[in-house]
Amino acid sequence: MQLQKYPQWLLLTGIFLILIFLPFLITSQHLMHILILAGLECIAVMGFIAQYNVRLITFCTATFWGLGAYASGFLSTKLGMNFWFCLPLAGVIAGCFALIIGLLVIRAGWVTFLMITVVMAEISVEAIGHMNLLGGWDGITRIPRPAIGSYLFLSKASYYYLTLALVMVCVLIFKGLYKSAIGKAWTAIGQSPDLAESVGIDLFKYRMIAYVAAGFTSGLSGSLYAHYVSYIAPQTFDIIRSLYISIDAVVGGLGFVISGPIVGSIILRAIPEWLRIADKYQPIFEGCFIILCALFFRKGVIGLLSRYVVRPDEKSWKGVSVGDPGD
Amino acid sequence: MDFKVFFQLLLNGLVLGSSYILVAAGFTLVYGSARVFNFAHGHFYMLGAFIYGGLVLLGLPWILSLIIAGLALALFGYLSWQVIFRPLYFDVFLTVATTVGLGLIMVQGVIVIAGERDIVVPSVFKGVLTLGDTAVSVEKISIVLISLAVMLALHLFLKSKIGKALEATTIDPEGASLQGINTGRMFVIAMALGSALAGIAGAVIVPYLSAQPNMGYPITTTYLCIVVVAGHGSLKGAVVTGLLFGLIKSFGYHFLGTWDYTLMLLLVAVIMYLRPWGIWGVEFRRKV
Amino acid sequence: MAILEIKGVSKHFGGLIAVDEVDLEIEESEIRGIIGPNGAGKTTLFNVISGFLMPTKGRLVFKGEDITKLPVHARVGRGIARTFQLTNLFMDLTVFENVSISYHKNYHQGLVRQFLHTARARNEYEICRQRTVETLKFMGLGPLQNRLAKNLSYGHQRILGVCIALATRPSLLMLDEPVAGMNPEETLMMMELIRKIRDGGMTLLLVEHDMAAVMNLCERISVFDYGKKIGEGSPNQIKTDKKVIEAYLGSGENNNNYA
Repeated sequence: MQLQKYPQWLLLTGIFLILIFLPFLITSQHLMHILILAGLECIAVMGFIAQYNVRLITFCTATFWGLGAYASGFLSTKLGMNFWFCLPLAGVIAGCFALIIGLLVIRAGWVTFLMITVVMAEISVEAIGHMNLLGGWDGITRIPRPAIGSYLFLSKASYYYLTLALVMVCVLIFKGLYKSAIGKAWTAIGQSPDLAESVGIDLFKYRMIAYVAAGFTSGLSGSLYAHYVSYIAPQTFDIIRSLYISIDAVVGGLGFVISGPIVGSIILRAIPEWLRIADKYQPIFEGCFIILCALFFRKGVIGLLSRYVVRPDEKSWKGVSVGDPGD
Repeated sequence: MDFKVFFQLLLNGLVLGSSYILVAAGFTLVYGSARVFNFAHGHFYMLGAFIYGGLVLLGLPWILSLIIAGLALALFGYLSWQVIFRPLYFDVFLTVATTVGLGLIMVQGVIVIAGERDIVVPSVFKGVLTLGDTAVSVEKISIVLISLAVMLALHLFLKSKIGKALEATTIDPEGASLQGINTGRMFVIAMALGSALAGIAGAVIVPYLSAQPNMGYPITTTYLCIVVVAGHGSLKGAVVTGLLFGLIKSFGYHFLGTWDYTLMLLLVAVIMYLRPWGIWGVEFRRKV
Repeated sequence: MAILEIKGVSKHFGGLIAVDEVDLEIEESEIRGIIGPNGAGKTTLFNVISGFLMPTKGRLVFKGEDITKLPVHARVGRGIARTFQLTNLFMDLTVFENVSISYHKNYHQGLVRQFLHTARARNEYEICRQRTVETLKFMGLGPLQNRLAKNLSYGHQRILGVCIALATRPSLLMLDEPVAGMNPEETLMMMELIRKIRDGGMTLLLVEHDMAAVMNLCERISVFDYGKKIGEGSPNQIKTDKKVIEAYLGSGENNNNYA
């Protein structure tokens, strides 16, 4: 008995339409809030997966997110810059940090790399907490709302569209990268770094590209986050947040570079709300979720769904096989 | 510098170093032999601290509490292996990911059960020894001695037949299994032993540092630094480097305050630049 | 003119000397065989030449350029390609994709242009596609081009490995035990293909244990034992060289079954 396979374009159009009209279908402000947060987070997750697929495991994605948030917060509150300049600048600043750090650390082997990201994640919280210029432990408050002319972005729906737009931009960036020769090199590195090297692919260069792209997009997302919640503190961007991001990636499906992050973020943001899980128990929930997923849904949620839908695009993109004997 | 101060710093360094060594040795066993990059290893350390602290507060003698803490973590490691890691067939990232989840559960579990405050455990070895005109707390000496005893036991174990089999499995699992070594059992032993070491490390240091749910995080960074500098297969390297880092932390904190962390990282950076696979490590390139 | 000069190259792993002061010169368009008992350092030598290992001592000169300090991908860029002793392929990709990805080094357009898919970039993709088809046809894998690499037979996988190396359009092709583990038919097939590659003017360096293959294919053979080169010459010369025979039959300790 063959399960029906839906052509991809139909699915994508359907999803697109739903996304556009979503604010009209949902009345709950709280749900909108969740979606916005999930959307912002999924950009960071996309960055995580891009890095994962060139065999870079990071636990400091939230740090770059925070970097973008702080850059934007600082620029807008202390220097009075307009949001529309802050956003790309935040991305660039985060990207520059990624560039510098990548130059230093990417050559070192994945264990060292992982370790450095952990260290960075922990130090950055401490460092920012001690910097009074950036508000110290109290953080930056009253970050201004974005505005176009006289229209001020206030309603959840308006932020929803803003987030949606940003997500689309990032999707375009990543899709563009994956489809190009850069993406091919990434695939090769993910499948077998030794073989990739032996056909002339400079591992360092392509890993840098992934790292900086992830840093840049995370920075953009962080910036919008800062302007949405209007208040940021160092603790928001600690290593636990990065760990959550990696969990989103696993749950969504490590092999799926766009849909995985989106689905993963939404599931992991929405389910705790739905189950009314108290803040106190959230880490336990996340922990259990990822262990269960790793054991039983190795290919993630999208992996499960892809049996029912033909996704020619994603199928022809292969990075690290989930389940292969690692490094 | 005043000799008294120097001596205290040295002693503190030894105390910290002892627990670092145990944790790093445990991680080397777990990662090098069982091939599990246990991101929650630091939390195993934390759990050991809490179990020990709890038992001592309940009135159990310290040696019993220590043994129970060690065994409990060995059991925990064993269960984690059976339920979670073995089925994953060494997929590196999924293993790390599950340990991430495990860690989250452990930390939050402890917070939920025991609350977020620190647990201060009164030291069993009270009193002070006077050497010349320096007062040395017996507790600190006891920590160093206990750790030494554990390391000695470990060393003797590794010289035994099982220990040699374990070493063979670490270097080349396929080769070892071809020689008739039950590598599955070796992995279990490595996992249990490594976890036990972490637990003991936590238990041992509790009188000195007090037990807090989040104590696993800083030790994670420390042991990762140690393992990276020493080279991740090397037990001997872990011991020497662990001690070194203990001393750095102690002296570093005295002179530099919270910048001691940075000092540690600078050292790591230098070593990474000069010898990327660690001082005792084997050159990266696998035989292709 | 020697296309590859290996001058006094040693590789030490701590106390173990895997390659010991080796001097070797490979002429352009020759087929050189590298033989020796297990553990003689042949694959280590390959790793040093291709860049996967850095020599402890000595220099490597390729086409007149000192490449000793160059990383792997740079050497590939200069025209050195290798295959692997253990089958190493992009397993989840099709045969076609395996080869077309390996064509990568030959793209001339910069990263930005590639990202933007300019006309010139697209043109290069087209050339890549054509070359891939040619290479596959040349090596006989044409009909299999849409099969996943992991679903190929062992023999075909090894051939694919060679295709991948060829896709980088090298001047020197190093084959690490190309017929290892193959049955007689597959071995003959591979030997045929290697001859075809040679006839195209490629310089070949071969490590192999299968004596028949080596004697048949190679014009000159270098023999190694314990990391040192102990003999060099034409197949006939090597067959009768005393030191070579001793190395293979051993003096009691190294009993290999290669004679």
